[in-house]
Order: sequence, then structure tokens, then C-alpha cells
Amino acid sequence: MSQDLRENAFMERIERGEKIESTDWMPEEYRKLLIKQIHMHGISEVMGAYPEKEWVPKAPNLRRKLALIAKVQDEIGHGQLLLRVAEDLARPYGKVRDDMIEDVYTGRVKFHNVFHMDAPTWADAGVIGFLVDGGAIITQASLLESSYAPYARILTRICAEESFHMQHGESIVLALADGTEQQREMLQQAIHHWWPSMMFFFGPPEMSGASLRMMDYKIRTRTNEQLRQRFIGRYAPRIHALGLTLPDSNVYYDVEKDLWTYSEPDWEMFSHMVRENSGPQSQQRLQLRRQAHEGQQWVREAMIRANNLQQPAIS
Amino acid sequence: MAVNQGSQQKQPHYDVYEVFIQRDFLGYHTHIGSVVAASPELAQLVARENFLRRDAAISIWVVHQTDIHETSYEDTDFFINRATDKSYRDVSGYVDNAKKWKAFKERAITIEDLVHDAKR
Repeated sequence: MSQDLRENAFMERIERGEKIESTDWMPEEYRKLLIKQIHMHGISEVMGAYPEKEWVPKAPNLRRKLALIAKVQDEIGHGQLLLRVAEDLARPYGKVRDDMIEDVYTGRVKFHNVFHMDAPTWADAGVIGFLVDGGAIITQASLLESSYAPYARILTRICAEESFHMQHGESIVLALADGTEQQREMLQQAIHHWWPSMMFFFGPPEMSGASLRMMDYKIRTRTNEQLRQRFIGRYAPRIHALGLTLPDSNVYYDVEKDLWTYSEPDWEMFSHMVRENSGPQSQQRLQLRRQAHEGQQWVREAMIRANNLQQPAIS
Repeated sequence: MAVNQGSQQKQPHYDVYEVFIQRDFLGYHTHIGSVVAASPELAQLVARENFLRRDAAISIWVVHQTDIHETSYEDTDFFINRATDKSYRDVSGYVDNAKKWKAFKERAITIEDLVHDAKR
């Protein structure tokens, strides 16, 4: 079959709603878009563990500490599951796990803007679970229908585990909202701190060429704006119910348009942060990531040697 | 899943293949049983005839039984990480959230809400 015919047949499969497996033929563009998306997603899970890890030693009680450790474990675990999916796709390019991990501190793969931010108080640790995980789940739930079956399958598992993250975050937020004036003030500040980052998180209303191609291929099926609208619709009323405010007085529901209005985040500032790793905590966390990966290289090598020693000699 | 690779094997000897079946595109391959066959291709065929005479499926994996590395049923210590209370790790450990939201006159968000949103 000629290349054009193959691509046409592939697009017909996509349009019929069929699912693609890693062993199926696929256009190189589809493969590359998937690698970019899933690699970034996996690395963001790994980098997403850092803001909360910083609060593990300072958690206010043992139960909170256990829950936070559990969440950090989950995020790293999700990173591993996603990188495994990306690796199968990247096999024709000879890319393996080490490359995928190193790409983050050599700047070849980016991670979500929210994980570049600082988390100065315990309320931030709670609001990360509440808003950041909430936003991440909205995005991930929309990917459950992805045309790439291995991605959709692994996201089913990830979403199930994320539902604990959401409850954990809400639990901290509710405890603080129900607490002293000082605790409420801390929570209020954290919500103001994270809201603009969350507006950026879903991406610009005017989507990039690559994002539009992902829609054509049904790798994703919702626009940035649809996801942002759902986020505001779920979270703005809840924040108001807690008697707290948003840092944006333009957030209101426009009944006629059936849309939430909001002020645009500083697109240029956040884009620069993601592109250049220039956020308040970007460099510090990347440094820790590099230390962890390079510092443990000898362990990874030792495990291979230990396994070789255990194998009986082939006669 | 004891494997007898004794030297007094009867001829002809067929190897054992464990069979995994995927029933729909978003489902996982699930173990369903095993077959003996002379080759992986024939194992797939025998698996189809043994397990899928009525049920539909979209994919079969057959794996040489000796390529499966199982944990020991006796080694219960291997699963000791389930020994302590893990409610802090489960949604069920946070039932108080709903009560507290009620006090603030809002309903707790569940994962189902967000999945439902995504499908709207």
C-alpha cells in the first residue's frame, strides 16, 4: 500500500472511533504527537511530586503525613506508567527510559506550569490537591476516550487513584476553612496564589497547531477552553461556598452565553516560565531531579550485575 | 503452575502456554487459563477453540509458561505492605468531606462528576 493510502485508511479508522494499539501501523506525525504528549504528561507527574514532597517533613500530623507520602508515591508511580507507554512509542527512535528522564533536566521536555510554582504554606499543600489535582483529573478524564488505547487504558487506572488525591486535598482545604481566622487567611492566600496558574494550566483558548492536530487524530477530544470552563464551573462555586474569594473579579457565569467569564492569565509570563524553566522553584527541583537520577546510577548498574551473577551459566 | 521438565518426557511433547484474553479495546488482557500446543501460533488457535467458542474477544496473548515468574503463595510476607490501616490512601477514608461541604452548603466533587463532565 502506498503511504497516502495507508494514511487515509488510518484516518478512516480514527473517524470510525477505532482504537490504535502500539503494534498497529501509524503515521509518523501521530506517533510523534503521542510521544510529545505522553512524555510531557509522565514527566509532569514526576515533577508534580516535588511541591508536595517538600511538605512531607512538615505535615501537621501523622495521618496527613501518611496521606501526603501516599500521594507522592502515586505521582511517581503514574510517571512510571506513562513513561512506559511513551517508551513503546519511541522504540523506533531508539529512545529508552534514561533518555526520557534526562530530557527534563537538559530542557528537551517541558513540564506543567503549576509544578514550577512555590508552595510556601501548608494551605498550598492542600490547595495543590484541591485545585491542581482537580484540574489534572478534568484533563485526564477527557483523555479516557483517546484514540490511542494504551494511553486510555493506563489513564483509567491513574484516574481511579487520583480520586483519593482530590479527597485528600479537599479534606485539608475543608479543615482550614473550618478553622481559625489565621487558617482561613492562609487558605485564602493559597487560593489567590494558585488561581492564575490554574487558568494558564489548560492552555490558550486559541490552540496551537500541534494541539489541533491532536484533536484531528482524536488523541484528545476536548478543547483547552472546554476544559477550563468545566474547571471554573466546578471550583468557583465551591470556593465561594467556603466564604472565600478568587483573585479575579471577572469570574462569573454568563447565563446568556452559557459560559464562565474570567480574566486572561499572563500568558507570556507563564509560557516563559515553562519554556525556560524560570519559575520560582524550577531550577531547584530540576537540580534535585538530576541529583536523584545521576546519584543513583550506580544502583541501577549494580542491579544489572547482581542479576547477571544469579543467572546460571549457559553450558 | 508446577512445571515438570523431567527427562522422561513422552513424545511428542507439547509445551504449556498461559492464555490472556482482551475482550474490548479499552480492556486489559486477562488471564483465563492455559493450553498445550506445539508452537505459539498453534497455542493461539487452541486457545481460541478452548475459550472463545461463544464469547467475543479482540486479542489473545499466549505466553510460554516458563516465561512467567510468579510469587510464592507461601510467602505472605511479600504482601505485608497491606498489613496496616491504609484508609488515609482511599476515598473511603475521607467521608467527612461530604459532611463538611454540606455545612458550607456545597456537595463534594467525586471522580464520577469529573468523568461525567468530560463526556458532556
